[in-house]
Amino acid sequence: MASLNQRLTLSLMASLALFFIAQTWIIGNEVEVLSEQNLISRMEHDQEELLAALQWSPPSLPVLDADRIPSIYQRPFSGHYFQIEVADIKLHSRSLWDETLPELAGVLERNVMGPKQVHLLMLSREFTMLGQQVKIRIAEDISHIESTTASFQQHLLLFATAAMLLLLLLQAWVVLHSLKPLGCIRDQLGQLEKGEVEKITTPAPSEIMPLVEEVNQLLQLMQQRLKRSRHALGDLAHALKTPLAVMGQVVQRQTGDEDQVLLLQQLQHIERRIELELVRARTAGRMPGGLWAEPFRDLNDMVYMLNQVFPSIRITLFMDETMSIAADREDMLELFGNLIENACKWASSEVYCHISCQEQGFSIQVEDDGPGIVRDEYQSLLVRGARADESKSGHGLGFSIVHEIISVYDGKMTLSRSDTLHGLQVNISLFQA
Amino acid sequence: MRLLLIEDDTDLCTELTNDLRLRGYAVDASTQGVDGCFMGESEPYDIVILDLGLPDLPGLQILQQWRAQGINTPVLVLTARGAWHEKVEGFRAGADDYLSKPFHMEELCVRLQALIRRSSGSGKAAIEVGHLRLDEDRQVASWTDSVSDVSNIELTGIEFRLLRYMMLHPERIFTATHLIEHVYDFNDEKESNVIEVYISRLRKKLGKAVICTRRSQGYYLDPGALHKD
Repeated sequence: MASLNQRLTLSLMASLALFFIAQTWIIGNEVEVLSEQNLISRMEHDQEELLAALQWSPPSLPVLDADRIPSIYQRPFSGHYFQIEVADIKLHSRSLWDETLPELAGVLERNVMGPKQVHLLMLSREFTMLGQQVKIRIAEDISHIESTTASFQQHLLLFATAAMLLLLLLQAWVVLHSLKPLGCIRDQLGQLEKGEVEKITTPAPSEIMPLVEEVNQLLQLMQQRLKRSRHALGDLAHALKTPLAVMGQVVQRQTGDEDQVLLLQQLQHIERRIELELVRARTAGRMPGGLWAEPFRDLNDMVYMLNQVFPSIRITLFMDETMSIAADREDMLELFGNLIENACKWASSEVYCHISCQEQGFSIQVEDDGPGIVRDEYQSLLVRGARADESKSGHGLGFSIVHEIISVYDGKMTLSRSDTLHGLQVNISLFQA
Repeated sequence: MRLLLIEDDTDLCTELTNDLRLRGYAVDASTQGVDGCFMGESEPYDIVILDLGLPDLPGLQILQQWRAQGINTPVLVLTARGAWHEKVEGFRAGADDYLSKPFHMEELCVRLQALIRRSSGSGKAAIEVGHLRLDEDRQVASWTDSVSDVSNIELTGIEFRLLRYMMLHPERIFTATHLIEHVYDFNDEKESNVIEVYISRLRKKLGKAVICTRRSQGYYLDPGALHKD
């Protein structure tokens, strides 16, 4: 769908253009018609004047009273001509000199070629005088009027074009200005996606305010639900795991026989299953407004904490201290916690963790100097990560959890051998919105 | 080693208490956060196991309260939620180690031993002073030099607790009352001369010079006596 801006501008442009074209055309025409009518009415007056100047008392020939003829008809080639035909006698204006006016079929003719090749407007009218027909033809040079009308029309067109352009500019500005709140909201939605804001705060025009409010409400609802479900899951975990811990204690106290081994195995299965399902349910995934503001501080604390648990292993973080990541903090801590703890379990002395921002997201590499695994096992470890119930201890559960979180974030995970530390290297890329 | 266990589940609490007592800890247990918090403030514990999911008072709050009061007893946090953000927050509140439920008893013990050794300033994997080594799992002492003919020295429960405490803090002088506080739990029957009795028994097993008496002050372990040539 075309943008609102485009649609508004195009339709306004079209309506403006239509209006100005119609206006110019109508006014131009009207001016032509008006000036012609003006001319015709004057010429008709002149005709009547000529009729009054015509003196005819048979048997003498008809003559024109020269005093009553407008002087413009006396000047040669003045552009004003007449020709009177009465009883086979032709009288014509002095201005015609030796020329004659052409015959006329109707009452009015435009563009008659007259003397000196000028365009004439010619009127012909018949009167009856003493039982005889008097035909008075009167003509006037219209080239002057034509040129003034044309220049007027030109000016009109120029003005209309200029006015239209100006109005278009004004309209473009008006459209842009009135769509500004929409632009602000769009920007905020982008920020929301990146996790820079928690809700839309820009004041919106009343037409879209309900939409903004709805979005804000949904966001709040989502965050509340996540919090509530996480809390409930925590309680569930607590309620399930404490009895499991007791059961484990009791079973371990029994003297070793086959049943005890079986029971311990089953307990372990249950533990793994619960752990994985809880992580799956707890993962928020990519949610608007989710931001991990201080990854460096959190990871630094985590590394310090893991150092207490694995005192012989040196964990080094390679990351930008000021970076922030548009993802849920708890999800990411879960991801990094499992990754680094796993690496620590297998490393002999060193673990490196690289985090770097990329164009479309960020990438993570966690490498250790442990034994690593052979290439053939990469795939099975990744697949086993997806099938929790069959995986064994060690890398298994941690990987299952990591795998679960990454799949929720549409990320990618590959395994390789570390170039620097020669143990296992886990490569993860997560895409940011 | 005096240990405080704060765990709201009665069954797990009883299980852990019994097991830890067998492993040579003087255990005081509380199933209430408020009581546990008070005990931690009033008794000189060497280590605390704290469950974060207490119904009456959140474990993190107890921890913050202690740290704010300057109580620096090492704390191992037990969490059922097992979420990493909780572990990180636990560390920020001042926890020294964490363990997710359900856990193996062996793992808990390894973590406790490591934590105790770390807090006494020893980075070694086992408790060793001079030629004397203490095996915490088997609760026996042994001489590491080949000259000695007696390799394993059997210890009773209280003897083990007493020797471990003194070996973790060599050269420091402890009064009999102090030793009682760190070797017996709150409910144990304590007689006034009980420490004297156990000290003399240890002297019989290890040699007279190992534990010295400083008149009107108390007892101390002399590392010089353990560096036999």
